Amino acid sequence: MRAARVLALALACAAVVAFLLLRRSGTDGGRNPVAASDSLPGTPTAVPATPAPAVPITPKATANPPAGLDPAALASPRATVQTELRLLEGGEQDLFRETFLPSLQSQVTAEAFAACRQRVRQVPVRPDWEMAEASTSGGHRVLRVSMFGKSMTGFHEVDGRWLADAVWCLPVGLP
Amino acid sequence: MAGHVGGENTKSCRRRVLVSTLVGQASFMRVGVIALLSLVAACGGGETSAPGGSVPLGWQPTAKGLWIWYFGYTGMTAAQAAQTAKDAGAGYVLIKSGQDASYWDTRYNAASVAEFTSRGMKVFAWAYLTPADVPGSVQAAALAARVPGTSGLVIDAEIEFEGGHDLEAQQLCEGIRAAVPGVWLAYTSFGWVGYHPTFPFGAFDRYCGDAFFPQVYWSDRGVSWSSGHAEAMQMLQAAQLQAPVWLVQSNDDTPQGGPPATADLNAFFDLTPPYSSLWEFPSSASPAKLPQLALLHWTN
Repeated sequence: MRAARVLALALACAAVVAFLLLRRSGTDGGRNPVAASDSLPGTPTAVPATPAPAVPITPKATANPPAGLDPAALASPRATVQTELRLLEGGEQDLFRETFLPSLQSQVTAEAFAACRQRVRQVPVRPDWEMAEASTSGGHRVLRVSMFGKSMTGFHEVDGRWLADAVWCLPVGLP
Repeated sequence: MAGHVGGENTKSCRRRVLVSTLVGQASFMRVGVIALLSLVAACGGGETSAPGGSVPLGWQPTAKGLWIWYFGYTGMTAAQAAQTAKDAGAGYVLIKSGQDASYWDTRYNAASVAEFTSRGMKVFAWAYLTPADVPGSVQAAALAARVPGTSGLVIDAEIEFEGGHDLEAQQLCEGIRAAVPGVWLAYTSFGWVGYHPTFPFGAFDRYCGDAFFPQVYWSDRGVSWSSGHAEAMQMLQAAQLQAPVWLVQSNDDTPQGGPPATADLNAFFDLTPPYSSLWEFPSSASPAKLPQLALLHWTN
């Protein structure tokens, strides 16, 4: 009887370990080695898909071509962030809106833009590129990065442009 | 007492018996997940089961705490940051150990922790966790909690947990406790709890409540330290949370521009000893904030 219990426990443990190993190998997007080198527009990074994040949204299959932004301004996640900061500083709300996924752009209201302008003046923007995580979603490459140490923001490559899936510059939880 | 500050939690048993939990929850899915987490803990892999550092139940810090995201943004090595924190007078630090299922062994490891503990400070790991991958987060958090020198683990749970994620909060906490028996497990989240009715404060309080670190970031919000503190405490009282409260204030700039006044930061610290702490170790992009650290009332 005791031997049977031991055997059952061993089998259960083995099953769990096997499950975890399989699960890990199937979902671990891992850190993105190209994140620090800012070479994302180059050869696609082969990464398994990860579950959709809780807050950011999923992009549509294609984006409307932005009318005013030079594609080079969105050529990598880092370039997009720099562009967003420049547009915030310059008060360019319409162009700023184009740095986000199309389905998110309606959320970039005048109030949101003003709140973002204020927020980036309050807190240094220092995305944690070193620990950014690469994945794919809806056929797009995605790089997810923590902008302030907390929530992750995904940058989705859509038609050669890296668009943000969250209005990361809005203050969270205040009050 | 609801909303009390600091001290040992009066609840007699934080490591709850899983069976008793299951009695009130008939969901087959819950049973499966909890059983899975229990088996993970039982199997244990090849990892050591002894948590590092001392479990600070009832511990009273000699000085207040300082939060660190990672060393790179400070422009310092771990040793330099530790010496700066010590020179300023910090009594404990909280260092980010990972994000969801990722444990950052290059940043939060025995060597970096030892830089602080060797200088007399206690070290807590903090991890930003969401409900997206509870089993993975449990594993990653457990790895951090086991790093030698670690006194405890603080879960940072915020907007992703809003909207009915009580079960995931419970599973997360119970999973970590099962994986690291005896771990000192706390949580941090929004500072004004009354504005977040769908956040699972109750679940975190019950299952991760060795302490609660409300982020009372009055400077970010643009209110005075006193009104921010008063409102936070009123809301804690109303919420009837049981975990000891370790308040956190921030040195982020105010919406009006400029850093919070040193006198205001000190007034908050003076009112909230001995467990309160400051977010965060200044960035190299804000060098003017570094000298302010040494001017704060760290000592209790």
